[in-house]
Amino acid sequence: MDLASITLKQAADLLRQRTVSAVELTQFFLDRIVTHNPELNAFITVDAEGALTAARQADARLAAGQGGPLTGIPLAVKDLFCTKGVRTTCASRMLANFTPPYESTVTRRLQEAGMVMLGKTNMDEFAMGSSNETSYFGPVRNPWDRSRTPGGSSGGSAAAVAAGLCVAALGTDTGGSIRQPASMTGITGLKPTYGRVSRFGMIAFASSLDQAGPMTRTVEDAALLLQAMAGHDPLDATSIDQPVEDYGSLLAQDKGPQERMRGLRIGIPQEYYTDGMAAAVRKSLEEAIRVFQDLGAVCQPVALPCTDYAIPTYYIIAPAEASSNLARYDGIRFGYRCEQPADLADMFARSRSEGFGAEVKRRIMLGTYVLSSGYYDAFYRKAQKVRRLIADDFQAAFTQVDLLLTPTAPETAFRIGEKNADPVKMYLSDIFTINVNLAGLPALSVPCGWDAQNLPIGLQLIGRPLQEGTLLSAGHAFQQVTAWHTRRAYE
Amino acid sequence: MSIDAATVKQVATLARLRVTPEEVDLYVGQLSRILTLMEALNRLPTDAVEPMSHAVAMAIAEREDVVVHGNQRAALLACAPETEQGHFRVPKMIE
Repeated sequence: MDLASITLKQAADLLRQRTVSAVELTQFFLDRIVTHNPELNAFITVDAEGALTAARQADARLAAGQGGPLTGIPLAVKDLFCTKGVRTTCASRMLANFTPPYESTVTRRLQEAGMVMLGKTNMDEFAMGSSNETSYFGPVRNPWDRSRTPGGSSGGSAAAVAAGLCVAALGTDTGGSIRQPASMTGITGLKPTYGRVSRFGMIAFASSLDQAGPMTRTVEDAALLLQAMAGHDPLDATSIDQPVEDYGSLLAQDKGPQERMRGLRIGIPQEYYTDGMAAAVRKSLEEAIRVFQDLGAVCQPVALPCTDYAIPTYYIIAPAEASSNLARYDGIRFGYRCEQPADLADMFARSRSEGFGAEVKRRIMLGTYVLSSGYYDAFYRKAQKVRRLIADDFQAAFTQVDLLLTPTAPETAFRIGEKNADPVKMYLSDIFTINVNLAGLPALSVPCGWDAQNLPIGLQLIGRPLQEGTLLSAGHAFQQVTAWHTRRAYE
Repeated sequence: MSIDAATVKQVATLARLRVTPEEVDLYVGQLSRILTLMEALNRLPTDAVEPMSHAVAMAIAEREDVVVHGNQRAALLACAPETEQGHFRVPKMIE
């Protein structure tokens, strides 16, 4: 078997049968990272020693028959999750030498399940970007075409999965940062309902929008990872205290794709059909609609009238929250401090100006402006009101349908340097994902086609709050009858 | 909507950022363009709409007021750029 393209489920079977050991599997991916990372730049930090130690422990557990479905599985972690004793940079000069004294809840849970963390993946600085070009550690290259971006902000995690440098990865999604790179690299990515997964130990960007999720080769793998990630955490005040569905069993049920989809009502938001949607994306979406119809789903048009307002709303609320969250970087307690500060004010201003990159500073400026006296009502309060209208749109749509189906991104992967001169152009690439975060809903991206340049296209399924099970079941049904998710970017 | 150089400088001061004259020019252009995009929101009547600050309606979480992580002083000070005798060290503020 080709280990580079192994799914999490297959790897778990091999590990349980002791066909391969966790140490062998871990060493295999560490070797691939050594070979391919210099070109792709998907990892900022590789923790070979820590990974092999965790793999040996996993092998002991497996040998004792105490392993679970994640025990011994090599995982890549976005460099935004605090990992105790392992440098966590958020792809910023500000945190280039930061080693957290504590562990995020998500990575702790996955470690306890026996997963092996290979290292920390590259991303847009503080997750602010849609192309991975704002990283202090340089851009990530798309495994499908190295002159193109993998999307962002979880571009390193997406490229690592797509290039076979790990079995699965963790991402975070504030405006599309799991789904858009998943779409642009031909993998599966899930953003759970806001509050389903703990944010404790995730470096904050926009606290009312941030959510962690799995990035994997298949929907089944995403379900297995989400199972261990999801659930109430007293350390996160916004964590939802509701039972977690058994996603793994839901997909393991001996159900054909027709049984999963029959009678399910899928809404197609008409406002998404704009000139901004590339022809190949439109064609793939229409084919995906036919696939779901053939399985017995009922597809019908729905209206989301406030769609056009999502980007301006998001680019007020997210920078406002970011400017507040990033006020903590003051050069005193942790992070970068400038050389030879003249006084305290000089230390604050120079540490921040030298420690943050251009996009982060732009968003801090924007957020500070919209929250400042005289502009608060016109911008921030107005955006909060429109946010409710956007959430109401979804609520109304979900009285008629069970799921929404859209493209994940308006186009396929763009070239490095193509959009970064114009922030507005870059912001518009989030147009299909951003409103989901504003409404706090779960959404899944799965590959549904390739364009003429051999670049992947993703479809997005959006569900009701806490209906990850319905999303995963529909995504799994799609992958049972299509083969897009089995395409590989390498030999 | 456009924003002028004086406003950019004022916002930079509020944000504790130092901006060069070139950056002021850049921000005048870029922020004006972004704020123009945001003006679209004014087309929507929202007088009767309650602002939404959060995606999930929930009560403030409460817990017992007990120490859970103990004394972390050494670990936390180890993250700081400069420390002295168990304190964070900063440049002199008052002459």
